[in-house]
Amino acid sequence: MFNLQNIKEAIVATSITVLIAGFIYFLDSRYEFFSSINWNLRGADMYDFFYREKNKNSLVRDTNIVLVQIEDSREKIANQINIIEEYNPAIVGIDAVFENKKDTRGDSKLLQSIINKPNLVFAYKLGTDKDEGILKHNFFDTSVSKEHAGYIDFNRDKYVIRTWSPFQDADGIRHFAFTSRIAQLYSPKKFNQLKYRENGNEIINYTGNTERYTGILKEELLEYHQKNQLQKLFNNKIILLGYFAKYPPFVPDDLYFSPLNDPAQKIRAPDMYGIVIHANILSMILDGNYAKIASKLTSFLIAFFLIFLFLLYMIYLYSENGMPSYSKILLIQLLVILLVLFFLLEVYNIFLWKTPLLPVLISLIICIEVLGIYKIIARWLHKKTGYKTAYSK
Amino acid sequence: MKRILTILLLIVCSQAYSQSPDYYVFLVKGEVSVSKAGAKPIPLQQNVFIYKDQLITVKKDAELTLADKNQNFLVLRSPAVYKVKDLDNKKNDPIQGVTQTFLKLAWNQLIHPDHDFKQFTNDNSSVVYGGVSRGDDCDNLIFPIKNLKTSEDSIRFKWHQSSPSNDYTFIIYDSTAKEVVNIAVKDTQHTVKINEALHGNTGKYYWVVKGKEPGCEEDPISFEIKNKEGEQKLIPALVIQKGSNDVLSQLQIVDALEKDKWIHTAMKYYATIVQGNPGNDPLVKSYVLFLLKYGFDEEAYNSWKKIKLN
Repeated sequence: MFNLQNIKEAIVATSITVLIAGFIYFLDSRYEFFSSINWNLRGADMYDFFYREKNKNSLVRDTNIVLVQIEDSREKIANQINIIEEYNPAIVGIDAVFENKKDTRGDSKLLQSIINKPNLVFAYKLGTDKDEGILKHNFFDTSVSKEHAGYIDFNRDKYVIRTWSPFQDADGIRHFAFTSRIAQLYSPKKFNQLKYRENGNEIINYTGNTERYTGILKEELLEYHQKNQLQKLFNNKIILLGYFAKYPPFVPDDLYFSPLNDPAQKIRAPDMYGIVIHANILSMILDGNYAKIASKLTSFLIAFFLIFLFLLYMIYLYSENGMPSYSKILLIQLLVILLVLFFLLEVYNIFLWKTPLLPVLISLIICIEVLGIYKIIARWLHKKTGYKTAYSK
Repeated sequence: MKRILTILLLIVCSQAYSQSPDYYVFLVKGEVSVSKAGAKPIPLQQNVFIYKDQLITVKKDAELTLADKNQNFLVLRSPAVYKVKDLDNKKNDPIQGVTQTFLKLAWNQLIHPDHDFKQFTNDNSSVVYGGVSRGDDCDNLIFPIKNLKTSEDSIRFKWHQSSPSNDYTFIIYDSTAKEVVNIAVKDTQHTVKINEALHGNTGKYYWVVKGKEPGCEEDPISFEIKNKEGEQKLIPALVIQKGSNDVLSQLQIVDALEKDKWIHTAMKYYATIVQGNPGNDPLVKSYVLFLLKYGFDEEAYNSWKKIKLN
């Protein structure tokens, strides 16, 4: 199998395959047609299976973070903040933007509740999202607590939230993500770990949906407060105040597609609230459990290596027994694709190391066709120039 | 001697382990009690330990969050009596929304498309039954649900049979607790023409049904008559907010209307979605479920028949 002639031809065919795969891969951002192919492939990221299966049926909760459903009016939100603050939480993150002044009574109550509370972290919208477009700040940012705020925009990998930016530079200012700001105040050590990673984008290593955290609805907050059940729950914990529902029907406000989305559904509905995504990011930062992503170059190198071995084997089969049947080739190709996907998924499971799949997949899919074309060209060259090839027979 | 001591130690340890609590109470919402078989129930409080031989009673609108030795959390929120020893098999039991129901049915459609209506209702009605807001005591009032908003000209009131002779007094109160309707009904439903009975007045009303024979007392539940102009603006506003290009967006509009208790409006909009998607059996099934949930059995059956005719 490993004779020099076979290796030489496998290298040539592999190089052509990977070049064409690279061409298709980089075309996607320029041409609508290719973009749609890529979109479909990315929309169904194989690594999502990992998140769907990893925490299936897990009843374990992250008790460092508690979710509290936010009230509808500013006066009631102020009351919620006052209640929460009574139990000395470490941080209270408010996942809502109070953009404009509304009624004087509500605004004034809200301002009273947040003044001199250094453990509050507010949210604003940076406006990097195409749908939003503009920066949205709280109406009190300049007067009360500017430094304890972070942006709540997500990176939408088409429509599934898989990554997030811990920091973003805009107009010469370094902006902190809402979660980065909370981490900075809650655990400077863990924040530094995040900061020194210097990644513009981080993969969100999801650990679960709403059931992963203790969620308290707005009515429950009042009841638990009256029954004095919140002391142990809130004391020295991170409280995220934002909109979510514990049980269906889910209101589509601030609801996103996550990798945990159930693939059994033919039409997928958004499944995770923004506040739960923030909680997942915080769990990841505090556990230091970051996922790593391989560069595109690494992905192409892996593709090259795999395709080389595969094509070498195919050339060897030809040189030994002539052309194998087409069905046999397809079966081998399918098995190789499944094995490679399984292998890469296991690598992610064990090392949290994610390889961009598209270069590998495109290469694996087109390699047999490219080998066929190579065979024709090699035979033609053999006839014309005496080019040495296993396909001369 | 060493062996005897080791065996004794093992016996003592295993005894001690078997007597350790199985769960502790993390949070208690509403009325939840614990008891041993035959003993008087005690209201549950936070941080109390729960043992295998106990029974937990969860009342309506109550919720109990338990944590076990391994910090696994378990939420009990359906009204029932739970044996603690069986809790390991329990999972959270969320109620399904319209969108979830549709998606589930779309999937089920692939597996068994030839359900008959009876089988279908048996499979699904019990799932949605608990989702309807009802009176607090007898749970007899079916529709209008609590806090319903409507601008319909007539409303069909439905309730469960609670009187053996089927004799009821049907009463509607206005917001000042004054009786505006009080009539005898020999059925479990009664249609009220709003313009005649309530003189076209909008606002909050309460309804209740009292059986001839003494039984459990039902608390009146509220519903609100709104003006038609307000209702007509609802769907266009939701279409702008959520879009209406696909079935999923349209179902989210139904979800929003249902959540806001505009049940008639949601029902009418749902019907237009079904009409606009002929041949979409999972959609019709989810519509049937929706109708059944609010006691519109006849409409549900008619919609079901359409699937079968197609």
